[in-house]
Amino acid sequence: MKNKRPFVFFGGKGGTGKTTCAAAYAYWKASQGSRTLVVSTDPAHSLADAMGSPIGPEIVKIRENLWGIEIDAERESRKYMKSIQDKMLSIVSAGIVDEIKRQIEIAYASPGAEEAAIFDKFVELMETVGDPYDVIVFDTAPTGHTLRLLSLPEILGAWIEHLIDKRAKAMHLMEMAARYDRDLQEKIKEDPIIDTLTVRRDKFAKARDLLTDPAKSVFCFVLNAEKLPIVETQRALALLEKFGVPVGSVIVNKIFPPETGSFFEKHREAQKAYLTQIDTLFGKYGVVRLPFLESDVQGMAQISIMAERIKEIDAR
Amino acid sequence: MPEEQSFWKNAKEFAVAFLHGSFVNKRMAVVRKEAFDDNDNLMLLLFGDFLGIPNPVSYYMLELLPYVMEDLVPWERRMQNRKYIVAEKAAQYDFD
Repeated sequence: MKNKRPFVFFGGKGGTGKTTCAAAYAYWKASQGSRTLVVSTDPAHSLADAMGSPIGPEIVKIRENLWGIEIDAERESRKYMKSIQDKMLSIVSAGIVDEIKRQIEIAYASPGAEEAAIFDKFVELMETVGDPYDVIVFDTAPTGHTLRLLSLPEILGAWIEHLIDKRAKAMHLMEMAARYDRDLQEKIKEDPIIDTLTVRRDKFAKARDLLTDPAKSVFCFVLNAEKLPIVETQRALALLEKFGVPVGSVIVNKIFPPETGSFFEKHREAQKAYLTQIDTLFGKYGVVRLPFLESDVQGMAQISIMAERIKEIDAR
Repeated sequence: MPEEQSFWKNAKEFAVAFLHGSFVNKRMAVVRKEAFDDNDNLMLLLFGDFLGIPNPVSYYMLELLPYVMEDLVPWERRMQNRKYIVAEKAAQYDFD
């Protein structure tokens, strides 16, 4: 069976193995002949370490059919601010440029700037699907971060919609006031504010459509057979469903195999109980089990072992 | 009869100006004020973070800066110097 969905997200609690799973899945997809891009959106990147090959803020080729990128929020927001500065040079008088630069510096340090920058890049990458990439695999940040990121289009979209309404109302009043006022008429002839806001709103709407389309996106949760990750996954799944993001398999990572011996006997017993719990809680999404490897994941050798197992998530 | 014509012309001009002045201008001043107030409020939603009010989309509002920059500085001054809110409000109503 072949998974046709071009966007696959891997999320979960920190330390459960999101990056490994994303890397392994991308590796497998690439080995099947799909042109695959693996994207890390976690501000603390570890994709390059897991892959054992350098990956940076620009897309690099890792191996046949496989490309990777680690989104650098600071760099992306710098780029964005630079584009605004360039645009404004052609619009406003030179005297005011310094003032704008000051405002931009303030906004640069404002909360939310980093995640907005990540989100923008992430949408930009999603738009490259089909050409040149067939599949884009996202290694996301720990749950809280990612849920916020995925809910951005919904929340900000509504906010911007409201701003557009407000501006339209003010402009309507302006028009009435301008009936006998030629200067004002000139001033309100065209409104770049509504245009700019509309472009932004449409971008959010598009991102939302992609994220919530079950034929395009799927979100896979990675957890361990332990108490805290199970509870967190439960909460996160409820939130994802609320935002309409399609949920795929639940991946249980780091399961101790029988050959771990007597020292891990107690652990194995505990995991067994948790595994039953996971099956009852998340069985409907499809549960994929991955073993605890002999050594930690630090390159292609371990990734390729994982890839053989993780391909199961495509079976659904 | 050019003289009579010019008299009527003057009278008409006067009448138009008088009516405009006593009714339209005043009304329009109110509408105009309302329109500018509305825009000031909008600016608060767009750039409230410059005054210390958090804004969830402040990052995206930067792209509006080039278009509103000319108004932004006087707006900031207006917002920071609102000493007579009552007078400001009263001015909206026709007390004179």
